[in-house]
Amino acid sequence: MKKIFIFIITTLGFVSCEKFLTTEPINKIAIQQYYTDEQGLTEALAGVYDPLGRDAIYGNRIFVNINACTDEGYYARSAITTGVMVNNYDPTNNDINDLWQTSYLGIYRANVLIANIDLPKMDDAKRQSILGEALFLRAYYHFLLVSYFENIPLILTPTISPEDVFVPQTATKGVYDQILADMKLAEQKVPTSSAYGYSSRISKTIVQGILARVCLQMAGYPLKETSKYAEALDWAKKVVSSGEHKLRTTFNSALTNSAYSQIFIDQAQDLYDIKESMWEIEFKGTRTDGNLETGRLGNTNGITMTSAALTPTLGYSYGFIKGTARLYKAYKTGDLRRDWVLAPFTYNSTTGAKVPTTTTTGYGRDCAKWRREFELSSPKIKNHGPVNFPVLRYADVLLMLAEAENQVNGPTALAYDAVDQVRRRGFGLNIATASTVADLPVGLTKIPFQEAVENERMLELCFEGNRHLDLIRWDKFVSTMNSIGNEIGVGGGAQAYGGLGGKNVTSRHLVFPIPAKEMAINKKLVQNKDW
Amino acid sequence: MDNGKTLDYYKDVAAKDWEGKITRTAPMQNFNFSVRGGSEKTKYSLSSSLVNQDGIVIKSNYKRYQGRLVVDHKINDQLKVGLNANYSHLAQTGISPSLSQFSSSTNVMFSVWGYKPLDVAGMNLDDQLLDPDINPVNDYRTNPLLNLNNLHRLNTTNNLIANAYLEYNILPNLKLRVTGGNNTSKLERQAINNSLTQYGFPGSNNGINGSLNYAERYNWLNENTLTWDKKIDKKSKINILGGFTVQKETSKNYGQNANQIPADYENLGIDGLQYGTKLRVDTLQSVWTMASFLGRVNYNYNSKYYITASIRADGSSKFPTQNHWGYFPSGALSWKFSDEKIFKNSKVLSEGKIRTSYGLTGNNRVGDFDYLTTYFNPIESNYVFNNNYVSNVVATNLGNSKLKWETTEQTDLGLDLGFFKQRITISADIYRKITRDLLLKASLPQSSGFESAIKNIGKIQNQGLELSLSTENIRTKNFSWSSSINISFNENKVLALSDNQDVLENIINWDTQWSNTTAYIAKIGSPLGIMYGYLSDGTYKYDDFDKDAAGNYTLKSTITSNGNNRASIKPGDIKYKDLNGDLVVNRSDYTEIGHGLPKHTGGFSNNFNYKGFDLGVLFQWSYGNDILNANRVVFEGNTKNASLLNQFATFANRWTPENPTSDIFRTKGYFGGGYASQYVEDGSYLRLKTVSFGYKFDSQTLRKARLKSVRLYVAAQNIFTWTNYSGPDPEVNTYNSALTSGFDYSAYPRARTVSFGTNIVF
Repeated sequence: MKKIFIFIITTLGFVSCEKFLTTEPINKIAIQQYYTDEQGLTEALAGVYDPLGRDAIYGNRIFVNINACTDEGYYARSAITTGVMVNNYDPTNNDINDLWQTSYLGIYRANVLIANIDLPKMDDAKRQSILGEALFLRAYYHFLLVSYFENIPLILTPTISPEDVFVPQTATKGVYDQILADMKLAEQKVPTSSAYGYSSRISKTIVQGILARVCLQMAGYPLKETSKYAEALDWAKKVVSSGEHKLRTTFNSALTNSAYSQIFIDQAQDLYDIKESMWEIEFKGTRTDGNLETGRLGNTNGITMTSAALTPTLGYSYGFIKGTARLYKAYKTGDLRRDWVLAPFTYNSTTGAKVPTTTTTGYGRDCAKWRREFELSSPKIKNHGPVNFPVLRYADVLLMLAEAENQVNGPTALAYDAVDQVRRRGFGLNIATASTVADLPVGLTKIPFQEAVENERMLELCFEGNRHLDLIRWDKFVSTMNSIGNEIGVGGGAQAYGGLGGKNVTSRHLVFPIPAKEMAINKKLVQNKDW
Repeated sequence: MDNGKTLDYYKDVAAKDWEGKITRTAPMQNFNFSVRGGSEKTKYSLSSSLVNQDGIVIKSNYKRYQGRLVVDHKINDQLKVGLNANYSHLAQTGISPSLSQFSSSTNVMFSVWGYKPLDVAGMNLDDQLLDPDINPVNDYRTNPLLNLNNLHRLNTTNNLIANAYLEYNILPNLKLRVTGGNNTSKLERQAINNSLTQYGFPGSNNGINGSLNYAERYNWLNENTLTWDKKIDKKSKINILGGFTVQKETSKNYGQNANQIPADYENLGIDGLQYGTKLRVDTLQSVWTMASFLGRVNYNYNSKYYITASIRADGSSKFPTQNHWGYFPSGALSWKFSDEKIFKNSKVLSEGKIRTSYGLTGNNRVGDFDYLTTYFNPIESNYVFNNNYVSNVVATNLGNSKLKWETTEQTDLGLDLGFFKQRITISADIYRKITRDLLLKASLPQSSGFESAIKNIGKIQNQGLELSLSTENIRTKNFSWSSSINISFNENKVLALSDNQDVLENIINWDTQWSNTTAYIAKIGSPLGIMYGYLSDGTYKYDDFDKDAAGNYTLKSTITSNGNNRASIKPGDIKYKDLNGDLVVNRSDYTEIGHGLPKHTGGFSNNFNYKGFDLGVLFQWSYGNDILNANRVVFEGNTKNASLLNQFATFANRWTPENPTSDIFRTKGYFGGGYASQYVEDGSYLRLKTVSFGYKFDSQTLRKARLKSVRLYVAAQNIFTWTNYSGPDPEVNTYNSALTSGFDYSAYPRARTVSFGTNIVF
């Protein structure tokens, strides 16, 4: 009898134990609890955009460390002899690892959103437009990765378990094909820039403009798929013909003297110019409220201003990037862009007064494209600000159009007009009126015209994070970097140390090494050549 | 130099000893009080204690007040009840000196060793939080004295444990025991970083800031057992136990944080939080449950043969439904052969016993919901659309739906021998322990979108031999001397890894610059704790280069690079061995550079008694283990390239054109890419661990004073260490895990303590 009694207790125990052991989380943690409606899906989308604004990508390091050393500028610290900034790094480098890690974080989040797109109850048109943004962003993160690392794991489904996470690399070509497929699908789904009214979300013309960029990258080194020039041309033309965009030609004369500079003042003042500044990574605030949506544009790469007393008003800046004399001298007389992108003055460290720079060697001038004095927040905090980063400007689209048109059809009137519009605006002239001062010399043949476009991309887009990849796709990275390195080393005077990064470049620097941490964990990866 | 002072001037200036300034001789007080009493039916005991111990780093203190009440009451011959309640209050101040994962320069010891030891330009650096010559943005060195004096850290824990039981003798041989208990604790953490601290100085990102956080835990446990005790005949006894237990714990974390507290309010402590900018603090709640069934049989024949068999089934809510339960049987046999006839009258052998056991045990030490992927909206993952913050939804950890119990299978064979009426005793054990499905936080490829997840990562074997010998060397009326020595040999081997991997590399996150560099490797067939990196090969010497007419040195084409661009390598740079002969050093030249686990460890103690005096001396050792001394990575060669950073004295002998044979690389001659074997040191040591000396008063004398016993003693710990290890303490293990042993960065100094005390029994 007793034994039966114990047996019954035991059996009952087991049954009720299962119930007892099945605990539910008290906090809200399941995806179904979040992906409930349009707002939930929009929040998931914010999570997909978020990595772009992190320090590792457009929050700081793309424009400071990774693009520090080009023929436009160099890292202005003589003590720094190792790092991406001086092209002296190994696979354990943090900037390289974090670019990898942060991009894949974005890819994972995009994949989660795409896989669960049908969970929320919501308007289907809006669902499709969010899907388009996520598809584009997944492709864009892959684009960042493939253009810096070449063969990379292509990830198209969300990770659901810590097993089966060892994904091998896909060849560069295969990654690009998927990028094109995703972006083309996205292009059909997302709204226009004017429908948004602001520049931080992906519109149809942003997708088209980035597609032009992707195609140009494919047409150059390492794939050299020259047929992609025609495709790049098509996408650039679509942006132009959309009528959504045009170059900025107006400015606030109380603040500045050129339309070109107004673009970057607007970026510091939370103002949108959706016509010119097509896609911006958006930053806001000063971090003191706990939000971390700030960037370091103008802080790490601004005009040196290191006075603690003046930080609240002028904004602290390290002046990590100085321009090269080559950039300075490439601007022709009358080009208003020069004294905006390269500081024509320094700050007096006690009074904050602007002391004009009188030397004309071109050496020693800080990158001044984004100036913290224009930020509206007060007091400004030392290391963080709200300045938006422009990933795609209409001027870039025009220059891509000119380059692709020249490659496909030669230096036609269309190609000339695109470059000349950009140049005339740079000189503060009417963009529709021919100018003997600003316009490119007539009668250039294909190769000189290409060189003119390459030069113009430096003049117009310097410090915007494009130059490193531009030089690589033109297959000029090693020669240009060695040449600028020697030029600064010989002629730089007190700035001669700035030549180190250029001199360090060898052919292995055409591609970043796969990060050491990733190599250590994922044994299916193959390290890039010479690393 | 200031005021035309030359470098030589500073040779005669007394350097500040920051380590001396922030450490101290720390007193400790310990009081115990207890009363016992009762009647035949009711027994009680009441005890309390107070500990007040200052840490050896200034401003660190630990206080504990504790009280306990135990009551047992016999209602009748069949029924007994009891209560055991313990309340404690802990208050701890000061900060943990190590284990930052952000930048190695935030650590206390970084500032202690690295902060400028000389006054500059008429400024007394004692009063300066920040060295005016150092950029505070990526170098977090601060005046360690000011910083430690101004940081406010107070952790207070209140903990109540109460257990009650009921014992009912159903039949003379059958006993039911039911217990119920609960354990409630509440931890309050206060932190204020005022304007004179590393984290709150004017111009720092958060300004003056602080936080007040609570962690509450509530745990209850119910155990029910039935025991059947039976004498089968004169010689054999059996004892059977069966039962089940259930347990549940809930926990909650909440609080408030504030930044940018106006300077006027910084002295209000946590009351000042309301004047700062409030930050979002996420409330976290969690729960786990556990249920177990257990059964055990003990059989004993003639006190000579013992057999035990048991099984338990443990269910844990921390695993997915299909893996809730783990089953853990065990058994043991022993034979006291000295009771057999042939030994019974031996004058030599006084005890002899052979033991063997086999059993499984389980481990469920994982997070409450690690098997589920968690979605959340952490504030740092927000984004901005149209100048408005947009909240986010992201996965914050990757769930593992296959998580299951870790199981350890242990087999043990032991022999106990006693000779000459137990004046010599020997005990020997050999064991083999196989741990399957080891539960660990495993690194994931970053391409998965996650850094790590909790996984059952493989199978590990430990086997070894433990020997101990105790002898009573001298035993006379007034004097006695006894010794005891023990030694353990353990051999450790990885048998399998998850996901069909052959190797598992591990990184130690002690500094951002090293957060991507493999430090340890686990390989199938090899032991754990293998340090992995480059073999150091001294420095590049002039002979390794071709010198051109202009005096430039170019590395000879037959000499390997060190991972750096060949053109950048200069005489005096660090050199590594190129193992695969491709003249380039990279991760394919990584090899084993050290073993974190010792070959054997042990202790040797001697106790002497002379009349009322007693003296105890304990030595302890570890042999054959290496330590990866990361302190030297920073302070012997300045590999972080920090400006104006003090270096260890060993760096004075570095390579210079005047000292071209040195194997210590020149200033800025470092190139990384892997841990170098030169930072691996032999961590073997012999330590005089404890010496105690006491006097016990004669009981005759005490009786008059109505005392039972009085002992006065003085004891010292960590008195002397014999070691070749250059770091402060060879008994170190920072950033420790099963896979990464023997890593040293910014470890807390080990205290050499001296205590005086009395034991008085009434």
